[in-house]
Amino acid sequence: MAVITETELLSVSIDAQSISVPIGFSALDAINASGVYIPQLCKDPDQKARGACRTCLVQVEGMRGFPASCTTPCVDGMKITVNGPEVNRIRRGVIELTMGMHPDACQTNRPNTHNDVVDAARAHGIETPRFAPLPDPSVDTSNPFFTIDMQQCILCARCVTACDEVQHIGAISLLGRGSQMKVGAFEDQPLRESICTSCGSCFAACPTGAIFPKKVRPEPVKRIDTTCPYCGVGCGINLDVAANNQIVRSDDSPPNESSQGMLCVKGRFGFEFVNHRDRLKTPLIRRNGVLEEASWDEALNLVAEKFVQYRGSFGALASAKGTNEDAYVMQKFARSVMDTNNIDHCTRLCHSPSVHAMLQSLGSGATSNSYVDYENAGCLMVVGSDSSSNHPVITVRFRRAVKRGAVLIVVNPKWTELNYYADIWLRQKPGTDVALFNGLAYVLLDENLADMDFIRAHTEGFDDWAAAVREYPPALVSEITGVAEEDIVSAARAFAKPPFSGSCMIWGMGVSQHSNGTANAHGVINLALAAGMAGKPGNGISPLRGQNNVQGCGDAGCIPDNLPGYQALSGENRQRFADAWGHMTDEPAGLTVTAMVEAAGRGELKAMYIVGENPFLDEANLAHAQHAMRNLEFIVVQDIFLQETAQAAHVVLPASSFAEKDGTFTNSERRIQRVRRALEPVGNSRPDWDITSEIARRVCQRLGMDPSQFAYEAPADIFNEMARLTPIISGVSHERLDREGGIQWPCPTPDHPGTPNLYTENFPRPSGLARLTPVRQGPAAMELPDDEYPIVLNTGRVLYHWHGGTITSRVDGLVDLVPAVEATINPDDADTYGIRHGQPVRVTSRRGSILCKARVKSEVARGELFMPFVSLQGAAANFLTNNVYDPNGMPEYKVCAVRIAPA
Amino acid sequence: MPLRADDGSVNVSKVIDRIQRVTATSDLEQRIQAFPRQRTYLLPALHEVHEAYGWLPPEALETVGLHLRVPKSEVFGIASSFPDFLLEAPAHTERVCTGASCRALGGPDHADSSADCLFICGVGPAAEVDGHLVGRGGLRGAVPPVESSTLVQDGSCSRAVADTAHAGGIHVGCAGNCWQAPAVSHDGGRTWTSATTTWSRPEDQRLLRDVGHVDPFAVKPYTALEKAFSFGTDAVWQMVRDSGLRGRGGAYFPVGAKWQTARDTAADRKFLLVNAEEGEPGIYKDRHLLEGDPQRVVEGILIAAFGIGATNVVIFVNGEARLSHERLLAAIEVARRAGNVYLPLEVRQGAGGYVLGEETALINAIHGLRAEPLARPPFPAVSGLQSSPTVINNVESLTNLPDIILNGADWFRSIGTESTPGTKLVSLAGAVRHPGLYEVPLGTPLGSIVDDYGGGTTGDLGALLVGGPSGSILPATLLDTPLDVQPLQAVGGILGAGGIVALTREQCPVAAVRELVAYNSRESCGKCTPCREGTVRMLNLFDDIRHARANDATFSTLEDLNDILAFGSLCGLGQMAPNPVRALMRHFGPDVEAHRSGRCPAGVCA
Repeated sequence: MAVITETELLSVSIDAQSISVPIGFSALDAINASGVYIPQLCKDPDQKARGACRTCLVQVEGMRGFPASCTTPCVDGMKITVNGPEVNRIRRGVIELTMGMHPDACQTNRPNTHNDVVDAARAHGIETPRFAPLPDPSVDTSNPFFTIDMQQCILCARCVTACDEVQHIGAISLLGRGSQMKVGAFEDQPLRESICTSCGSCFAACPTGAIFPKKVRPEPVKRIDTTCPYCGVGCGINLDVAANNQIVRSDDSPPNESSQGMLCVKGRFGFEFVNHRDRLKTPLIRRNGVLEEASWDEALNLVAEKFVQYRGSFGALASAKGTNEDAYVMQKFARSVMDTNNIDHCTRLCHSPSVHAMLQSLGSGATSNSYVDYENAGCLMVVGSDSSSNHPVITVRFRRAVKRGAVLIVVNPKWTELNYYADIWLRQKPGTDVALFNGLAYVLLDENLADMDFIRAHTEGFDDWAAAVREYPPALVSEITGVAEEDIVSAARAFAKPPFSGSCMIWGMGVSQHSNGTANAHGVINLALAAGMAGKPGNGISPLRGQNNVQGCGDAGCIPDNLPGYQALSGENRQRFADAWGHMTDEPAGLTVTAMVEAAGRGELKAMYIVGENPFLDEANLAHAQHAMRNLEFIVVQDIFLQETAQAAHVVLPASSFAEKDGTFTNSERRIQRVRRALEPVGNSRPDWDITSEIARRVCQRLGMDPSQFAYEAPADIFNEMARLTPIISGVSHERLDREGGIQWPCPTPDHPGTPNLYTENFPRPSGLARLTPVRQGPAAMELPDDEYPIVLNTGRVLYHWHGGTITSRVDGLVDLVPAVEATINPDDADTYGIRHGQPVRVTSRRGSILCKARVKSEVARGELFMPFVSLQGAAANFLTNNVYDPNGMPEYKVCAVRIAPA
Repeated sequence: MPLRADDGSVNVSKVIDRIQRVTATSDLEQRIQAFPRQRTYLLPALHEVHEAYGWLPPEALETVGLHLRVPKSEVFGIASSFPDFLLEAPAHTERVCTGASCRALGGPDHADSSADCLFICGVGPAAEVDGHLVGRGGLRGAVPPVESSTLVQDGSCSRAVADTAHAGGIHVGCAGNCWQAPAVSHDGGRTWTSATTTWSRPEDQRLLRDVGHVDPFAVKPYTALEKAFSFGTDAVWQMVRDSGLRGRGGAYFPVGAKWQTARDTAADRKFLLVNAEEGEPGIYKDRHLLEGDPQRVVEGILIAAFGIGATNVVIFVNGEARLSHERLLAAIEVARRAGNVYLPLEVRQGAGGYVLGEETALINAIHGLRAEPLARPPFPAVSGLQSSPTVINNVESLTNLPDIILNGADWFRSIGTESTPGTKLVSLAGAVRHPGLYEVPLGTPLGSIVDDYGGGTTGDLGALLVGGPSGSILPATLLDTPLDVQPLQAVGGILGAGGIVALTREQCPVAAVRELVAYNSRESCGKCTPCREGTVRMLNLFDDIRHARANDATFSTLEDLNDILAFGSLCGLGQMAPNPVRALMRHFGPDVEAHRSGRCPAGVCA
């Protein structure tokens, strides 16, 4: 924050009280700073002044009439009268007119909401309404989370501004004019049928309770500032908690630099799961084939004994939903106590090819830039990402960029919401990304658009790479990918020479979840490097991270081939960690998730410790994966719900949710942010770090190792140990985060401000140069359509569910919005197979068959089918997907062959 | 086909053909795609759709929103805030004018589908049927016989009562003699005859000199513009300042001072925004200028742009003033071909809304936003269109410029009053013998306007509505009040855009003001609470008064509302909404009191 010097202050008086305010303050800001009450019905603290409600009228010496203080800038020596007889008479009249808009004339507050008009009326001594209410019968109850009641609306337009200018959704608008004006959606249809994403920003902005929650909860007694547990964007949230240990609501956090006061539907309304009746409240032990309640002591002892027994044939899955501290303890336990590198987490199933390719080519596996760079870029290329569903708040940044005039290029076989804003849509055939990106690079070379200065100064491998690229002229690429030649050319031009600033390369699972995943990622990275789009504000290379802490879980070392901070498992590092931990495994790199499943199937792996992961739902070809894992002799699942894998476990340990523990998450822009305990642990649940430490101590005792290695008192101690051993976060501590807010790594020292952009000087590879890695198009996928299975199935996610749905299927409103798995099919194909929108269908692959609901939309091309992988009503797309892998262990979730028929 | 024939004359019908919109829907999508993907093209794109379909179908709104990157809810919301746009397919449209003048001429008080004004007051009562204006309650006349040299009055009024568009002779705009329509002149426009009447145009006209006199499309040299160029921009500005010209849109702000602010603000781009929106009921002066002498308007615009140092001109034309729009485009095309258009000049169309008279609302509309006013500062002359300095001048103000340049500031000041020099176009309507448009020197007494120009009233004069819905109602006892800013203010009125509607004693002043309140309520943009809610409450109180339900509280609340609106509203529309109410209370106390005891002196109110 800028230091305000004496000379930059203005002296103003408010009702004869003198105060100093900074330049730029409005008269309303000054009045608020002085502590004098004035109504301000249409002025949201986070929105610019609209000057519409006219309740903040004041008298200003030397000015005519009664200006609205919100739109009146302060000048030095200004004399403002808030409470004068004349101005109060006019203001009172305006308040009376406002009260006349409500059937109860604003006499009461609705539960869980606050009506500012009530305060204004009280402050002006208005008891009986002067004007009879003018009824407006319009009430929209179509949204499951909130109701819009126009009878309670004062047309302040805060909700419309929140929808349009904060979230950039534009679902609601002011309709009509004059006294006929109302808030509504396109064609005045119910909100649910509009493009509304239920983000609730309108609800949060409403000053009267006209937009009010459908579920009434007890009034809150405290508010805790923490971080959202859903996707990798890492939005700041404020949890309001009632005296009965229940979350009342989640509110946005404008000071949070990653989210700037924005939230999506899950971040605002997705918290019922925390207090859900299904929460695991006590440990369970399988006895005679049945999971029975047990004491912690029993359960922990059993686990410790078994882990000792299976030391040597043990694997662990950490959770990308847990904290950095949870993850660090987990990998430390695996490596130092269980003597194995068999530790992995769900990054394997989302971005392992991206991370691998980035480590090889760039020297770091993380996003190179910050969200703010998306806003400042002149061109955004978004590849294989339905970011509107999966990273809604980052997508707002994209929309802001488009509004500023940036060119948006969407690369996706499927139409996504982002296409609304796109200038160019490259709709490639599934699995042909390598050819497409080589083709784009070809245009760069062919038209001298490549940044040769950057290539010469900062990269190596140009000749080999260029030779590969030269094999892909646009005409050929067009044939392979199905994308028009002219679109390839114009996209390449826009990306290489954006209208202003730089270009950002942004991608999602559509790049990585292929048997070609690593090659795809190289293709994407190569194009960004060839255009010189790394290392400067407004450009950069960004894989969007899926889980809230998938970045941090990898940073903390829960991957089989690296120590915390992506430090190599080299002799020197190994020794350093052995010294710190007392012991460190000599094993080479361990098994990946997918390799662990296969090893379990072969009987080589006998016991697994699975924290917050659900391989019985997440793996490709579920029937096969479940069969393989049932071969394990001992499974411990530590989770908040008795999910599919837990149901097959031998011991189930109840973990606390994010709301019940302290720690940190690291988001997609490498920002480490605090997670703070808002509730007492539900039931007998315990935080993951605590459970893992407890197991570790008991195993240590049995093995004669030093249990004090796991004698942590609080997550802050764990973070400090991790920071000591991990140079990229050495300058970070809980204390510093509490003081300054989130910090982006690398942050090597306590006085380092953190790093918004990587590669500003060089690349963290031995040569200091990035590598252009030649790649060539292989077969589009391992399984392609044929007569028997003629359709390509693509999987992904939907806005209203989170991954497998373990959490979101326990939020009523989200289930209400999307109750069943839907298979999206092109209208032409629907005709061919006799399928109607909304009807049940059976989708079958060589590996399984599921029943779901048809959604007929031209969002998908002919011959393609899209399904989210969420499990609802027993249907899950991963029964169909193909367990073939990319060299980095990534299953081919995005392409397999299926057939479809009416059910 | 060349637009200009070998002899240098311009083939007007070809020009118009070229400009007229293709109304087929077949290439609508391409035409929408042709707009740059910027929000400011929202109104033009909506007009394309509306022209093509006659209404705004949802699918087309989506196409527009998608292309201009405006959320479709907003496209719908903004479209629904402009009264001229239809959001449902019309089977057959018929709008009957219920404006004060048409009512005075025997039109209905209410209609299922009504219009506040159709701007052909001289030939009222008026209606619009399937997009065509109809005057005199549907009574059509024949155009008197013409020879090739005969001038034929051919403007909106005459077309509403006769097929003047297809008559022979030389087509000229209406010289202000709307009441005569259809009329012809055999002496070059000095005297006009209809089937039964003869009228001589007044001498010493300035603004209307060539209106109804000269073929609006005959190529004429822009000598004033050339002279302005030779003076230089500073001298042009000084002349305009010295002339004392004040803005004719209604606020009478000195034109030179407004220019100065924009001139003094450093910026790469500066706009001249020409306000040809003219949405106030009973006002049709800018229409007359645009229909009758568009080239003088264009020349004035070009002179102003030069005097301001503008880099761009935007002309915003009322969406219903189709003939004005058409003839303006043709005149611009002519000027362009003559090489006179030296800077980018763009014409936009409105879609209704009295609030567009408010400068910031007009700017918002051009930006593709709801036509809602903004708080000032910043003033548009500092930050307006595209956040650049923007001078907003009315058509009538600008039309004065060529003469000021040619004849000098002193010449301009030789007519009118010391504080408000020059002439004023007065739209005279209602119960007068000769409703029409008259150019009168400022300072002329109201009574002289009614009698000398309007030919006297058709019955006993009861009241004059002066200055439109934000204006006042004045009694016959004030007929000696001069037409000028200050004297009208002194009697609780405003000069406004120069509208005068005469009412006879058969018409109730309370009912007349009630209609003005209703209009202000309908035309409230809805942004600020006092105007949106207050005008509705005012209207309810008026109905109480008219129907003998009023008590002391009715009047004290009305008084309070007058203050709340005047002092609490965001823009002039709300601030001035109490004007006619206050004038009624001031000048028509006995009438109001009579209503209170259940009696309407005119026998109109129940």
